[in-house]
Amino acid sequence: MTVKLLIESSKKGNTGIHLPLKSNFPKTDLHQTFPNEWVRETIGLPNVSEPEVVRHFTNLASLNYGVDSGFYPLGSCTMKYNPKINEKLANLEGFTKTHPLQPDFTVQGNLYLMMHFEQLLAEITGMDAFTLLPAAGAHGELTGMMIVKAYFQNKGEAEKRTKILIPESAHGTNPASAASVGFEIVEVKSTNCGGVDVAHLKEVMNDQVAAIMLTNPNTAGVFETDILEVAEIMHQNGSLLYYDGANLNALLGQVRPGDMGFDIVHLNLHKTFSTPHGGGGPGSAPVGVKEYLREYLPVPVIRERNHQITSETDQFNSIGMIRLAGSNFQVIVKAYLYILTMGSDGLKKASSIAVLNANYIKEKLSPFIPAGVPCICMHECVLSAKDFAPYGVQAKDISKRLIDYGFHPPTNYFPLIIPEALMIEPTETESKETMDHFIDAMKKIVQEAKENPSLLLEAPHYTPISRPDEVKAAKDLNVTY
Amino acid sequence: MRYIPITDQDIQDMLKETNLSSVESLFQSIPSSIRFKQDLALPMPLDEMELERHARQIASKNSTSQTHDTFIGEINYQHFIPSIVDTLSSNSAFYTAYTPYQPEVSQGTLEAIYQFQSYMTHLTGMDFSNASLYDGATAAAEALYMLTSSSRKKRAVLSSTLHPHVKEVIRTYAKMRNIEIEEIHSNDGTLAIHDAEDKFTEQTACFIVQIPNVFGLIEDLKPLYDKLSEKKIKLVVVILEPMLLGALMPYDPARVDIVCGEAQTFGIETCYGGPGLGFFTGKKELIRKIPGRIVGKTTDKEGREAYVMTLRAREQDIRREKATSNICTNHALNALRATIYLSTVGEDGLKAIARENINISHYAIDRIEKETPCQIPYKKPYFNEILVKIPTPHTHQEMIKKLYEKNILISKNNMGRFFPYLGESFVISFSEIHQISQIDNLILALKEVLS
Repeated sequence: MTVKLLIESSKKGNTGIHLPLKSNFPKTDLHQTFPNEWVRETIGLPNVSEPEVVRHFTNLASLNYGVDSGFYPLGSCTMKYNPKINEKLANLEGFTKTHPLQPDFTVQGNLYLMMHFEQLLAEITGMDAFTLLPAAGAHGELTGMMIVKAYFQNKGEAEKRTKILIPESAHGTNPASAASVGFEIVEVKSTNCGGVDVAHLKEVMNDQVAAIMLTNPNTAGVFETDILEVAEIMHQNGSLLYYDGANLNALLGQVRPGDMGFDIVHLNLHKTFSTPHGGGGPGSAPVGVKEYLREYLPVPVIRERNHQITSETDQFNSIGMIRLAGSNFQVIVKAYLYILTMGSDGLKKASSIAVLNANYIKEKLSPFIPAGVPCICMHECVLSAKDFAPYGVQAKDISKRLIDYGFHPPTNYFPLIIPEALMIEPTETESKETMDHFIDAMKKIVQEAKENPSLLLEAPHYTPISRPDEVKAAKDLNVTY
Repeated sequence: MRYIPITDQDIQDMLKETNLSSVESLFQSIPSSIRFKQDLALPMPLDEMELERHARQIASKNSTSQTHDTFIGEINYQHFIPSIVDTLSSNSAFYTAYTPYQPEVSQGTLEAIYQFQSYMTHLTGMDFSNASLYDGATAAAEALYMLTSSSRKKRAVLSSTLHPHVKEVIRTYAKMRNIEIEEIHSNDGTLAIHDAEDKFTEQTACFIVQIPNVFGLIEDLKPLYDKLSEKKIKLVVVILEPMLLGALMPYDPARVDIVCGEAQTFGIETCYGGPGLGFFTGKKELIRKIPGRIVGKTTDKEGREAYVMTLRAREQDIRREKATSNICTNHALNALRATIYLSTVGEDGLKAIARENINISHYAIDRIEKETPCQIPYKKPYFNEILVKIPTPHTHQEMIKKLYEKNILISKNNMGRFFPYLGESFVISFSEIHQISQIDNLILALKEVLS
């Protein structure tokens, strides 16, 4: 059951604002000012009253499940708690009512916060310089790949360095981002722990390779133990290492990408640094580089001189502008406040507990659903539901049944190297009791799969709708009323 | 710890129950040579009261549209935001959810996006809208990538009257794929149509133009339609101030292929430029090539209406390097804000607000021209902003400082920097938030500063 669309409640004469508008300005006659055919009489929006709007969206919200509703162990997405104080403070009018084209001297607060935040991120990652401009993880990757391209162009090797190495276990955005800016993708085989197969890396390595994109811990949730060797192989070949920061929550304060040998990193503030996911954005993905790549960062860049902080566009080798204005500033304010709340001890504790929680779940569940890889996991564990095939049950059926038990499902079918993957990332903001409830539910579902698989195949049973017909959605496209 | 509900006793119990020796042992796969053993050099942690004090202190160092009369637009616009936009969008069932991969527990987000898509489609007159993108400039750049790859043509033509930020972003994206970019010159502030003749070729994938353009002027595209379709060139209209569409439809939707841009204007704070709200609407024959998410209506097993993300086979998590774009998520929460805003003001409210923007800007700009030494070099149809030329020997920098002393904020962009033939000039923007007394003050201030 869905909520009626607002257009279906629309009635001429209803409105959610005070109409007619109170105005002291003389009216401009549209027909005298503009060509007649431009003047518009109908649009297609509803006319509804304020209480109807409020009820509509409140009812819609009740059909949703968020981190504040319950356990949301969506692997690779780091669905940790979103602190409320950060929401409140990021909404201070001193921030929200500033315009991106205000002169720098009138937004010294914003510029100070951004400059300070760049320094904090540099310390946390072991990098030298940051840009806060990219709007999302994929935008960060795109920016990083542009920096790789600009670097080799400046060295006169752009014609030659056309390839990006990507492990077969990588996030789909990695190959998509590299291909977006015109690189060719070479897939590197993965070990049984999802790591880089170093022997295969050596095989595919040649002078056409511009960079490798890596997630560490990798997408199977396992630390890349050969990272130093991989870094050496890449650097000896004159190639760069790009760090996809999706999984940084495992490593905060434990080991830094900059110390592992990475040249470029992107961070997901909406994962590691607690800013909300918003139902699919807005996120924010600062990109950090080593000193020798600083000149390629996108503009504007933030500089301090004579006690004034400025936002400047004159940077000779910069890749250029990558967005309309500013940064996703409001997201940055929240992440900045999170770091100030946590401090060094807090961040170290966050990664320790994130890793402990994932291992706890893995150890408790693997007797029932085997782990996808035979290795110590970090902040997330991957289980493989392949043994349920005889019962006609797939990973997604287990996930759908979990909804009946009040949990958000884990990530399914990723990474691709693990058949029937269930990728579970509890994060550090869950209690032992919550995880125990989850573990109990999983055990019950395993039992149900064997005894009464239709319970899983027809799940979920208690949601406003059952499984939607996705084939029909794509075939009889209806994307607008 | 405040955000970490695991006690020391829990840690002991968990280790014991799982036969793990210590938390430290879980990190043993990290080579010890790079293990970070010291403390991170971060400030001492703040408690909630200290944090609030700190944030308020930083925020107080900014001037805002609350402390100063602000007449800045160009890329982000200040409009009144009904309070229910904040109230409803701050429901944590919306903002703490992720991308709606599990439709059974995400119908709220999905149905909101479906309505967002519907509103944007009706506003622009196109056939479909996606679920949103990052912002107006990246939306235009995504259109460029999409149209050059689907046509296999490596050339695009831009209007020189695009906002420089949009133009720069398009150029950044274009050079990565060696897409050749040409610009059509302007004449008196709008497109010089005659200049289009030899720049539109069979090899041109698309032509990108902005309405209203960088100078606030509404381009007349009619003379271009046939020239474009003769050469099979797709027409992309970029709109950064879609409030315009509440009063005017200055192009023929049947002759346009993509209308995309920035929808921050609908219920989203300017917030120093972000997060904004990219939108992307177009003709139905393009729908299988678009970047980003799209939500469709379908039914569930019982035949009940249901919403779900659709046409997923284009996307990066499935198609990897063959995806139509690397875009992963959208700006869902801001799309929600825009949907709440447009629902609240509604059909009649949006028309009234858009018309009021025209009333105010035309009143104010007439007075600037008649009563102050400023010039309005281009007088063509405009919506709520226009280019103002500063009389010599005065400079833009001087204007910024002196107006600030009179409690007025204007744009930091000196348009003469991007268009040298203009000299010292800037774009001034008005909206329904301005009152007559503020316009009186502005006129007085301009007269005094330029006396």
